[in-house]
Amino acid sequence: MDTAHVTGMSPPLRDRLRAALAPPIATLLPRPGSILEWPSSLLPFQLDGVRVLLSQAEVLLADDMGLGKTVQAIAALRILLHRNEVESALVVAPASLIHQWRQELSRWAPELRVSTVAGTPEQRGFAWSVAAHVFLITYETLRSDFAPYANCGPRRRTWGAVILDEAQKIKNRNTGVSTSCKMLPRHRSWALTGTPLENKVDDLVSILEFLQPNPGGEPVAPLHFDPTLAERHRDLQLRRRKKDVLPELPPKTVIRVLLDLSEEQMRSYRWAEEDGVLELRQRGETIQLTHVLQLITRLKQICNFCPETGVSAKVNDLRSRLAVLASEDHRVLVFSQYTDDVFGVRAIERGISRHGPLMFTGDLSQEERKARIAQFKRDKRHRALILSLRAGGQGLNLQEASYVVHFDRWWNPAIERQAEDRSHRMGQTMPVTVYTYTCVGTIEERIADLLEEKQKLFDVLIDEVSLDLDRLLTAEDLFGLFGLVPPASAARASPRGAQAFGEITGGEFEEHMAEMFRRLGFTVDLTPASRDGGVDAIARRTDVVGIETTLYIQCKNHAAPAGVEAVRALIGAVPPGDAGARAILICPAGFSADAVALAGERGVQLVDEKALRVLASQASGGD
Amino acid sequence: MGIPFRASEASADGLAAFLRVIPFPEGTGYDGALFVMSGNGEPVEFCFSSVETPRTALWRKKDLVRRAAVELARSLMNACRSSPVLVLARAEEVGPDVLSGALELSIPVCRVARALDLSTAAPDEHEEIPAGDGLHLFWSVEPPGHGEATRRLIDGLLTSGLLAEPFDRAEAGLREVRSVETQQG
Repeated sequence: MDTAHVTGMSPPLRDRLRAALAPPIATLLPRPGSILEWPSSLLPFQLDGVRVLLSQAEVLLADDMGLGKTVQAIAALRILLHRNEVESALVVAPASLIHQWRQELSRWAPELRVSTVAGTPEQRGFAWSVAAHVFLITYETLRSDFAPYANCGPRRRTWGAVILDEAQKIKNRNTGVSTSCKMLPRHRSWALTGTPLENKVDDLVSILEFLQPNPGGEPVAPLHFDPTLAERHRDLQLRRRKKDVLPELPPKTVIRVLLDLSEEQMRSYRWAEEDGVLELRQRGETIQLTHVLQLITRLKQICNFCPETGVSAKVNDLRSRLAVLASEDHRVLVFSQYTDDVFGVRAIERGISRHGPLMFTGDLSQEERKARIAQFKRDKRHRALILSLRAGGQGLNLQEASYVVHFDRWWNPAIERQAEDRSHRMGQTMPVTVYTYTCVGTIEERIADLLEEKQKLFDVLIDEVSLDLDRLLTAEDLFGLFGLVPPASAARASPRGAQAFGEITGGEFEEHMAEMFRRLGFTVDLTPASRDGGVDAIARRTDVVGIETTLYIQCKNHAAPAGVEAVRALIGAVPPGDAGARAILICPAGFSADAVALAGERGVQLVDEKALRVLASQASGGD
Repeated sequence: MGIPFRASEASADGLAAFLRVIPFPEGTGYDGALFVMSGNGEPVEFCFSSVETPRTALWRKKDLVRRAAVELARSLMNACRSSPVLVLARAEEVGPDVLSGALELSIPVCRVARALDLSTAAPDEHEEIPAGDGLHLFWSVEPPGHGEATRRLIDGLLTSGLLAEPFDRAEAGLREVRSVETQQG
């Protein structure tokens, strides 16, 4: 709009006039008669969501998965940009969703210039500097690029809006990611999540700390959940359930499929269980929860495939079902927490190869993920898409499949539902059927029964509280799966909490970490205890193109979070000039804010309990 | 950084200019604004000016209003760089002889009155009452016929609810100007 011809007009007046003269919101909404072109109209509840995003600076959009949170956010952003109420916006999302954001932005706001901040530091530096309306970045990259000084990429400007997709990523307030997000200078803060309270109230509090105005990008004081904060939560959250707003969405049916292991598979299973329980008994008072969890993992893997013969009752059943479904022109998503070629995704692919399955795992690059999904959508000859639960459980639109199979079970029902909602979401025209495999007479059946029993106890709780049931499986529960009684020390520990590591010595913890990195393909050398100078282990790995990565690892299994001194000591111990070197500080109890800030500034990777769990899962063959 | 609206049929039918003439609160003059907009509501140009009226009993109020409206309209039309194909004004602010009489504009002029206004069409104006909006349109010439670009423009504005609303935006623009001038002292 040309107003500059009026002599003496100051830029602030020009900006104010642009805002005052912008078309009214009602004429811009994605509905019939809009003066903006939209690919389609939004449903009434989605228009309500857009109106809320336009009218409130802080919003927690917590609609059920599949109701179009991304589209609502993009529509609101587009309108704000057109009305000149926002100049630029930052979207922070998991890596698996970046491509989807680009697609949706291209579809719903094609005139907006989008910059994806990714790649080498030089490429990211350039991406931060381009003139774009929307900047896309992953949580991990944001943490890498975030620094306390004002000139770093994410802090170079005051964002008109910062949008966190899958905002539960910042539920732990002690991580670098969480701190970085909260210190982004911004006028608007939108958090999108389908599971606002995945674990406990503390998770929500961390998200609410983000949902505060912070134009200066100042450090955020911790909040505490009290009646005032509860009221603020109610004011900020917009949550709609599928059953309330989409009664016309086809139903989802979950069927528990009980399978008998074949004779040879059951033989392997029994041998492993007896041997494992014997070993647990022999440990006596030194037995720890980690030992029990390791045995559970081992047995779950055998329920997938016999380690000796590769026979699998689950694959046999899946093959039979696929034969029928393919003849009826249906397609299937298969989820597994394991990715390897003995117990996981790759082994499943081998077992059902005649149906042209595609695989989607965390080790794929962004481009490969994009291509794989496009291939599945495009070519119906691929009757099945086999996904690792972590990589494929979030954000993807896979309505082409109307059948979902949980090849093996995850602890957290919310994660499983999230995976199912890749199929059962807006745009799905067929009823969705979900099969969950459970092998009779095995640990799978006992865990399933235990979880079901626990879930029933909490059905009376309010909808927003979705509990992480694995945290509710006490030591007694887990030891009880094998008819054991936990020793006094293990009985007080939470199943996967920091205390589980706190019960072992520093040396044992270092050895445990070393073993984990070895399983991840590294060659690991533990440094002598008297001369570590801040480094407890050095792990090296050479990749397929000959590039060597060296990790300088410090392990702290203290009860309290690691402080800034630990970070300094590690930085000091890493030899300068080693381009492939990376410093890693592991502390299940978390990190202080100063430690997080310094680590972010100096590129030190911090591994807390949550990240350790992910690494441990990868090391055991999961993703 | 601007965002271009997408070209659409609505914007291809030309630009509409919305004229406002608003008295100073203290009654010593008038503010004027000419807000030029595309058929899809995109702001294109905003011109503003003001005129003081003489404080004398020699002038009748309605003559003062007419004189102010003519001066403002002339000044704004001269300053405007765009080429609107239609000028709209509020019937209660701008009399029938201001734009088509005193200024002799060559483009259609349409005065817009809300149903509750007391404004009526002048004898040489053509009244049109579009369905549904509660608005009366007083055309200085024969209303544009079916198929004409101006007809498509006016119908598009009606359909989008953008026939009366832009007058409010023009007033909002004037408030911003006044606000800045007041701050600058």
